[in-house]
Amino acid sequence: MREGLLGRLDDSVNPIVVKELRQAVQGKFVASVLILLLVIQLIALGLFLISGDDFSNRLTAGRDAFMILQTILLAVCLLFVPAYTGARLAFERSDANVDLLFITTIKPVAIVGGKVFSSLTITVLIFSACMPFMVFTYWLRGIDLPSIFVVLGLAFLEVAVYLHLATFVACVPSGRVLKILLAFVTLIILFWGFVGTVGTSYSLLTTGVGSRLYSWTFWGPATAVLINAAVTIGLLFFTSVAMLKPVSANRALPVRAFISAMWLGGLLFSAIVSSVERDNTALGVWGIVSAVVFSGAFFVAVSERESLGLRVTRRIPRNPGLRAIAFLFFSGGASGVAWAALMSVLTVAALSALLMTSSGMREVGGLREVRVWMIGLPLYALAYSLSALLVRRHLLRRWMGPKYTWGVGLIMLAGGCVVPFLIGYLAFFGNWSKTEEIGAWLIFNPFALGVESFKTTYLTIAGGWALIALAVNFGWLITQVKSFRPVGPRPDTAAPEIESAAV
Amino acid sequence: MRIEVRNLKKYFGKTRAVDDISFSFAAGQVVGFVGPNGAGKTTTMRVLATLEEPTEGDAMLDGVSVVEEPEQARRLVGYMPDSLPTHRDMSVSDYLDFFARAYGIRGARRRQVIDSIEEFTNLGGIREKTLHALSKGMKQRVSLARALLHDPPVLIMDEPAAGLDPRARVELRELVRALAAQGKAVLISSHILAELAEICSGAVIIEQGKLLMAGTMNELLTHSVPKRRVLIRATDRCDELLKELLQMPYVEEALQTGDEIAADINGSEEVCADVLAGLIARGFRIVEFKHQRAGLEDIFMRVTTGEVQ
Repeated sequence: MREGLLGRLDDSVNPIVVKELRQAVQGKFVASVLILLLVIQLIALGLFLISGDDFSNRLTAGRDAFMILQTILLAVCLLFVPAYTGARLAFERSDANVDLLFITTIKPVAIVGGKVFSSLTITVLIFSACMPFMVFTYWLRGIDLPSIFVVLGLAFLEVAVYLHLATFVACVPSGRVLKILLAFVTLIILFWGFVGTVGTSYSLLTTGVGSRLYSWTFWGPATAVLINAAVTIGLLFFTSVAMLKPVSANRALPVRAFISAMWLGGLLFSAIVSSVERDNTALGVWGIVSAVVFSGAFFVAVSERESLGLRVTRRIPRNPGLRAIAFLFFSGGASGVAWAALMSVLTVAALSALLMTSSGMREVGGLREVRVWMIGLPLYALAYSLSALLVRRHLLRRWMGPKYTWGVGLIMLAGGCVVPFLIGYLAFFGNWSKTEEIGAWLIFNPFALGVESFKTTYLTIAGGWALIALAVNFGWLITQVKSFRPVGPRPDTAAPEIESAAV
Repeated sequence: MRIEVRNLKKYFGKTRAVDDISFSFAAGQVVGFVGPNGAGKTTTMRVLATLEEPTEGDAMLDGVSVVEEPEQARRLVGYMPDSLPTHRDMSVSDYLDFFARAYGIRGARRRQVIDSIEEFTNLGGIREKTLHALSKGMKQRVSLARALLHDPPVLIMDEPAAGLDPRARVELRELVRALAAQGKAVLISSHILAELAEICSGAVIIEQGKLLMAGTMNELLTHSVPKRRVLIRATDRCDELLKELLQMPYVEEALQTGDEIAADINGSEEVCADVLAGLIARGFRIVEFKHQRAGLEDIFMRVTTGEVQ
């Protein structure tokens, strides 16, 4: 009975977790890092204790000691663990040396889940080893136990987010050069996250958590942080899984379905919060986050495959109504552009409808600025991504496949932001003038939408450019719309046979 | 079970690693996959193993497309690469256990499967050794064991004999024969053509990504080596026999080496029988008339040019 139960439990464990943890236990690397970390923590705490004067006069000794230990812990968990996880997965996925694990029948969701779970287990191990030292700081005064655990919990949440980010980057199908570039950008983000988390930890400890633990002033922001972290983790997880799936699979469906569900959930949640709190901040955040996500979705969409394989096409519904809905959620470049465009329009429409129907929200106001960004960002993204598509299809066709169109788009975006400004600086205004004065040189910069006197100009230019880009890519869109229909069975073509008796 | 490669193309930039290759074979066959270095053998095998996506074309394993349904195809194919990928800090037992779990083999059956595979590939004595401590031959055995864990009906073996000592090669050959006898379809690439010829029922020859020939060994011989070489030994009158042979129709060339004459006959087996009957009718006392079969090496040298991309 016991063996049967243990056997079932053993079978239910993700194979990746079993492998990764076995390697971690049997190898020297993780154990060495853990011991080194403990030694550093011990030395740091020891030095802090012997270097201090009279502890009875130092009311913040505990907090200071905790921050030293927390910085060391975060350096390991926010920089080392995600980088280690991402690098290992990227190596296993490299073009020249794909790990044979990827030709087993294990599902991509189990691979991503297993990788993240085993890394989180190592993180828990590191946190557990460090926690006694960190809790010890309570006796040095200036810090309370709830603050210690809340700050550690926040740090763990950050590690979970960055682990998913590292996994996501490792899963991006790209060549070695692009992978190294992405890894470099990710390291910058990890370092940025490290600095931000250290700052947030210090801020939390300075203001103290214990006294606010039973009030909304703590649980309000805490809930927002938890929801944001959960949505970010979910998005990175589903996208990572999608990238591990075969190209022939309907990769876009789970990602778009997840984002759509989160968009709707976010709308309902922020509308309720705004209504109860009589403050439209939550709705504004929802609108901006939605605009950013759907703007990014345009760049992803133009990098998707342009013709669908048998596997996807045979799942296209025959019913025209269902087919129209399926078109928005199935893999494909045109489908992605249509979905991102529809969701962008729905975001603006939902916000406008809420403001029109709810007198409370209308009275609070404050969403005019947000709406400019909600309209402008997707328009610029649509214009840039479709322009990149045009360039890739007509100028770079021989050298580049669809999957790198996003790169062309980002280069164009960077060029659009920097080049006109530099020309203006060198040829005309010649010094760092106020943005209100040089706004005309920022017309291709979507991040300048906040310049008050140029808002209408920017929106007009972004809209016009998006329409032109849409018109010149109309054939690309229509071809895919027309070919989005169920197909019959595969035509059978014979191959030369090698016939003989068995050996 | 049928394995069909249909108009397969795989380009890396401007390099056409595989250029419109088509062939098919069935269960129980061992098919040699032959070509010079850089011919596209490994790429084709990686496509069949779902490790690479083809630029065009497809490969079907019992009707399952490796392009459209790679997840289904992975259940049907076992892939043995030319070298075992390194896994740090893993014993042979842990390695096989991990892959058995990854293939969804559960409970007590997992132990049974691993035990039987270890016995079949003779790995029992090294199961606790770490992978990086193994010799090349042992690594190849582990690789084969891993490829067989889920009992695939198709086995793709990329240069399995490379770097093996003579004993390990003989053992590998016996393993491949045993697998074919179990009804598995085996596609095997090797540069050791003499050994390949001993176990293969057919062969596919490619060069510069293009298919040169595909068929059973007999078909390949017939097409690529139309002349038949026969070795003739008579009790006496060897010089006369040589002259007589050179005057006979269908005999293109004849050379005497010691008491043996090698004659190239351009024709079928019936023509060979006619030549023998003619010699006997002319009073020659023939004690040996043997057909010297051309090997895979002869075919390979005749059909390939040795050019690389």
